[in-house]
Amino acid sequence: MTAALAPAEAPLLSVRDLRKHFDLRRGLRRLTGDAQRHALRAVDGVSFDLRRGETLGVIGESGCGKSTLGRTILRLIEPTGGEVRFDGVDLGTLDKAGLKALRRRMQIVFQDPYASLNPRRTVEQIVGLGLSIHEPRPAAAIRAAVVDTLGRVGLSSAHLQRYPNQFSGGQRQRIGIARALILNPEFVVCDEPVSALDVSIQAQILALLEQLKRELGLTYLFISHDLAVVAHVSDRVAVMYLGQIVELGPSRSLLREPAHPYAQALLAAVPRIDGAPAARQRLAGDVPSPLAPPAGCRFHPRCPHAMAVCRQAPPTPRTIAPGHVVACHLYEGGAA
Amino acid sequence: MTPFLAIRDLRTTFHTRQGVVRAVDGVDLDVMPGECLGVVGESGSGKSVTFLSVLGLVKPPGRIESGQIRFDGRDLARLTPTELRAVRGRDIAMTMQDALTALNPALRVEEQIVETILAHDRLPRLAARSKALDMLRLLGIPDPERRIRDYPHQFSGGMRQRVMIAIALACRPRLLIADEPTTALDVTIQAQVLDLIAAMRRDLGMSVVLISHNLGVVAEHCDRVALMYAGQVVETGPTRAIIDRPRHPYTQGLLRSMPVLSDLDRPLVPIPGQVPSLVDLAPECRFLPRCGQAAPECRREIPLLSMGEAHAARCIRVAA
Repeated sequence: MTAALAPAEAPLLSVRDLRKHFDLRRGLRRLTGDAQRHALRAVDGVSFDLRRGETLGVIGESGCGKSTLGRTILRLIEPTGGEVRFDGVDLGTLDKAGLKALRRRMQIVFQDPYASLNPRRTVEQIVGLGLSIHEPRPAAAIRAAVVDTLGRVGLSSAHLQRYPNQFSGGQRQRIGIARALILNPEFVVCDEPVSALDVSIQAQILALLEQLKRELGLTYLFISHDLAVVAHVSDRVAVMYLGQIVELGPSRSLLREPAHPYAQALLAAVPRIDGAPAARQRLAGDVPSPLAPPAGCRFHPRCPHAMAVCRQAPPTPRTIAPGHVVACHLYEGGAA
Repeated sequence: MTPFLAIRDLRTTFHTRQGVVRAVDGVDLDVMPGECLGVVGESGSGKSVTFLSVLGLVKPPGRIESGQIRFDGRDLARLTPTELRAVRGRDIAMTMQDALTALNPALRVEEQIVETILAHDRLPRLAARSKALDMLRLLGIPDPERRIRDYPHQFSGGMRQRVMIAIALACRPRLLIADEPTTALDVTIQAQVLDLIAAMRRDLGMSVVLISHNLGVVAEHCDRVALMYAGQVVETGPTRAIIDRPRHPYTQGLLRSMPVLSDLDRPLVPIPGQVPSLVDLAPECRFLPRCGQAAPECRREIPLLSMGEAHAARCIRVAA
């Protein structure tokens, strides 16, 4: 898997077999004593590389682990296992100070611009906080940096003393972006940055992210459940299902001809405005619980092409085209 | 054909400390028998409040200031609360966007469906229960005999939405108003629920109003669509005509700002600015501050102007 996913040049971010299992025994499970099924496998063996200046889109439905993936990469959540290398440095080997130093180069924009901004802090305090932690300096200097960053996201010094509730959703997301950018990061995790916004405002924020990427040479991990949004911003796309990447490839070819049956079903389910819907296969049922993922291929209970082998063994990721990897038994050893 | 539901010049306001919010401001809408009408708009466009007004569900400080809501020969705006309650559920049912908050968390699903059936039909309890089971089965809920004893939190998002649709359809209403039935759902589950509503519409011969912020959802399922902006209908017409030949600058802007999977090379063009405050609206086109085609003549109230084929837009350029 490792070799297949590695692009030619040295990647900015390199993720190998990353795992995050939440131990639910610490909560209610401890009382009920169910030790058998205590691990929620939110991220379960994810590997990929991200080149400098690239945008990797991560798509998947609720509970597939895409947000946990972003947070585990940034170490906002401690991983259960696996490795994350940023610019050659293994984050797992760093002490607290080393991690702090690296963290200013890796930032995050959150989904909900209403919940992710402290309602009791002014814009100046919210945006300037990261700078005062990482580069303590006089208030006037921090203010100047805040004003500069606000300018980049389409806000101005007139907004400094206002509180989040005085802004619309789109403007709040601009504040969240300014907060992420003030430290001049190289890598930004965008976790559903436009999902809470109206369509006309969505496009404003997408355009802003695109422009900032160009101007500042940013690298994005762009997490979203909206395939059309991801398709528009990403160079490559990873499709996640129950904690694992089932398909990863160049965004155009993956979205034009998805190989994995789950990716196919996901695309077929997107409502189209361009004429009558094609005859589609609908996915039946719900996503199984990540507490007890199905044996073999995790998608097999819902897969229209499931074979005997799918129930027994998990598929190994295979390269089906340059840079295009699929984890599906249909593509193993000519089984299709 | 006479419309099944005809809304004329509906005005619903909310009296707040900041002033009078004109949430619905002169809305005209028709729903034909057996039709699926899509109502599209962003947050605060008035699409939900319009249909809450139809059902008399607007709560203070909101109130219907004026307008007619003709349904089956009666003006719903003039009915007493008791008369309106008889219409709700039996003739017109509405599903809410968030099934988790719309369902009673302390009652089993069984109680909630049976209660609705008994409120409108004089049936023995057992007959109502079997009717409820039929409904759950029809909506594709597996193992309904067991699931009917569950509480709402024991269902997944998609199943919960189905339960709410089951309650709405329990009395076989002639008009279903589905308010963002799929917004909280994942795309594969969203497709299941929309297919289901389409099947119900066919099988039960009902009319459907599909309220959504997603033009794509509406395009697939609705014959006609009405776009709302800042409390008004700004464009209405056959779905294909609106998508292929949008005439209102807002509709055009919305289409240009929407990412579309089949056309990834087209750059997204955002609509600048934001939706105006609905307090103290000037008597002029509400889209004016964000419109790239604005002219001095836009500084007056603009009516919906027809361009034939039931296609109309609230823009001076239609007349030209």
